[in-house]
Amino acid sequence: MKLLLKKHLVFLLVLSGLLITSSIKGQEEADMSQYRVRFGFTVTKQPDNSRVFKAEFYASNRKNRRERTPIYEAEIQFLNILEDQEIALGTAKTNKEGIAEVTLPGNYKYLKDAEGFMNFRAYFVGTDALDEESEDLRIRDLQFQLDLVEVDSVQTITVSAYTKDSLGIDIPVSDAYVVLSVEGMLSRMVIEEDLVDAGELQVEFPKGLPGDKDGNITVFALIEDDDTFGNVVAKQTIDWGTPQAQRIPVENMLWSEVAPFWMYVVLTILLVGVWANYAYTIVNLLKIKKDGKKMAMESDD
Amino acid sequence: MDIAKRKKELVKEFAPNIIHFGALSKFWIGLLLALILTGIAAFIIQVVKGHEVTGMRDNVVWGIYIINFIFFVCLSYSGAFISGILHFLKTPLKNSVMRIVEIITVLSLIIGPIFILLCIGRLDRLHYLFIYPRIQSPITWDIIAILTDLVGCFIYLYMTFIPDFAILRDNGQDQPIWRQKLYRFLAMNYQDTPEQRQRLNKLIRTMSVMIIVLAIVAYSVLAWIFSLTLQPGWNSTIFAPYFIVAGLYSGVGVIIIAMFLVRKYRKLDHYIRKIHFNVAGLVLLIISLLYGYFTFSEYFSRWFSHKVHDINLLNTLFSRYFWEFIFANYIGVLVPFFIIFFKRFRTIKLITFSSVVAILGLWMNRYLIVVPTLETPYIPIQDTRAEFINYSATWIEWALSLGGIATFVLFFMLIVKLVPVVPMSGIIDNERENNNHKSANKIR
Repeated sequence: MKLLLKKHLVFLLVLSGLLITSSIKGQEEADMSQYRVRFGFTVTKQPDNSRVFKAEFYASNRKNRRERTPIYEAEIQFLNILEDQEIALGTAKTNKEGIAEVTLPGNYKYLKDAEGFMNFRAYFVGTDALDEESEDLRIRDLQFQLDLVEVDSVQTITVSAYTKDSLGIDIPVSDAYVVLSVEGMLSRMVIEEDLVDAGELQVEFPKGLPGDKDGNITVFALIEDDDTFGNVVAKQTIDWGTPQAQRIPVENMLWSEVAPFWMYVVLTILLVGVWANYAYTIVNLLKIKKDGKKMAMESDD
Repeated sequence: MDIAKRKKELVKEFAPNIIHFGALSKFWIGLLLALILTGIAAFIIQVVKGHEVTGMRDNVVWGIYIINFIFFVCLSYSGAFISGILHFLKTPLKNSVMRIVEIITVLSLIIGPIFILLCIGRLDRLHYLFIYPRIQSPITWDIIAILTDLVGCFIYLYMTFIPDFAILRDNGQDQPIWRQKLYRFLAMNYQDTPEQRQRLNKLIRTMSVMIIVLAIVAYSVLAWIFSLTLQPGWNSTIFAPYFIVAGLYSGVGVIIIAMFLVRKYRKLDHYIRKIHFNVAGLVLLIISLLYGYFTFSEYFSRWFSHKVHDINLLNTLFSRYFWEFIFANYIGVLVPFFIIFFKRFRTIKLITFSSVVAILGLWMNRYLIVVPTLETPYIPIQDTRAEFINYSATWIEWALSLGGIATFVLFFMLIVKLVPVVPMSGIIDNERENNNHKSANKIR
């Protein structure tokens, strides 16, 4: 018996060894030397003039750059800097996508230098495992407006972009690259990309774009990764789209609420047939029980 | 033949196996309980922390749980199928394996669906499947099929146990009171009269037909969960028969292993003989050919059609999963085939070894059906984390899988402590039939 028990123990040890090896192999930790830490920082001015400060913190594989491993729970500080002054705008921890975000309202007063630039910094203080990281942005405030009007019966998108000088006078912007798009079901569809000239860009709105049931469609104007202005977004909704007729619900289809008729028939026949047989079997088992009881009583008598 | 005396003898013969727990049994029960407890701990962690603790992510939404589910459910269907067929065979050999097959059928049908529950991220919404069923969904069909099959298998298993419960009730005076009471309750006043015997046999035969049909329907429904989707590697017209053949392959394999273990540790060499292994081995050989043919046909047609997504999948199989592919589809088919094909290798140990290889190969085949397909979807995966693209099972998943297998083995051990693993009623029926033949010959 002892020998048998020993044999069993050896078998178990080998089995657990195999399992543990495969489990460790599957969950092998990544070798950090194969990764490069990346720290990105963007500031986006939203249509309601609020600003989103966003830092992206991740490690990218040196061999396969598509492979990105986010660094989460890292505390990022966002600062507004002017010479010696550092105003804390907010602090956020990176989420599971490696992104930390802080949003400030449109009426927030930022410190600006003599040229009207705002200096922002995203800062990670560092840990034992990760070095300190920081990224600066120097951008100007842009007045970015999107107007949707009919000009000589032509539906026209007008984008105006200007800055204000220290006296509050509007200064038209040139050479800012604007992407115009409309909101779709999954993502935005680009309809035009062009440079703003003398503070303005005019584009004819394309015909036949699908809107909602009332023809409403949302148009976006976007300046992205601009050296002077960062990210700026403007949007407007208007009924220039083609109204989408309401879909009439179909019946008795694979994709409708009510299944095809034959499915109910087949399923009912199958289930009734099988469960009726179960019932028949149980009834007969009870008869066997009853007969047995009768016999037992007779033999007792 | 004095049947009452013979029944007594049989009870005396099997009683030590039923009543006594040896040191080895206790050791295994303790170990199995430890594995089950580890599985329960892993389950609690999974429920508290969510699927984050598993290797399943947005892309690869299914992992080894669904593979275990398919494995166990197919095992049950094949058990039902084989058991149904055995009932129609007029050979005394069947008696020694019938009960093993029946117990495997019911147990695997209880364990299997537990694994599908582990795949569900929001278990609190489980009842929605019953409140808002969609008749068009293969998942709904599968739930109906599994529940119906489970009830059918329970009734069937119980009916096959009744004559033995009656024998144990009438001859188990030396047994503990609770056992006597239990047998009295479960025997349902069965007195083994010709009328009762005839009625019970008729019911068992009807039920045998029913569970063969049910097994085929349920097998097909299970295969349709995959093949009715448009995923590369799944959308196949031969998936239903392929699943039936693969299920039978694993079923016969598990039955052979169970026969080997029962024979060895229950000392039943004179009931489970070499001829049983030879016959089961030959069945395994034939099914290995069929399974190999289906596997080749499946992959060959995908490769020949050269559809982009199918080729991407095949490239993944032949690169990242090369050795797994070789093991599942070459070693898992060819090793059992060559061992059993040559008469000189057809020993009990080698037939059992070939069954182990067949089962491991088949499990891996299911892994290759599920995981690589989910790793190569139609819409390319971009800019995401490595663990979102490539699946790797965590210790939680392994612990729960081992817990499931341990539960299966433990229940098997406990059931064969309730009734003899070789039906006593079957032995008596065979002897009674032989006597009738002899009497008939004498009269002639």
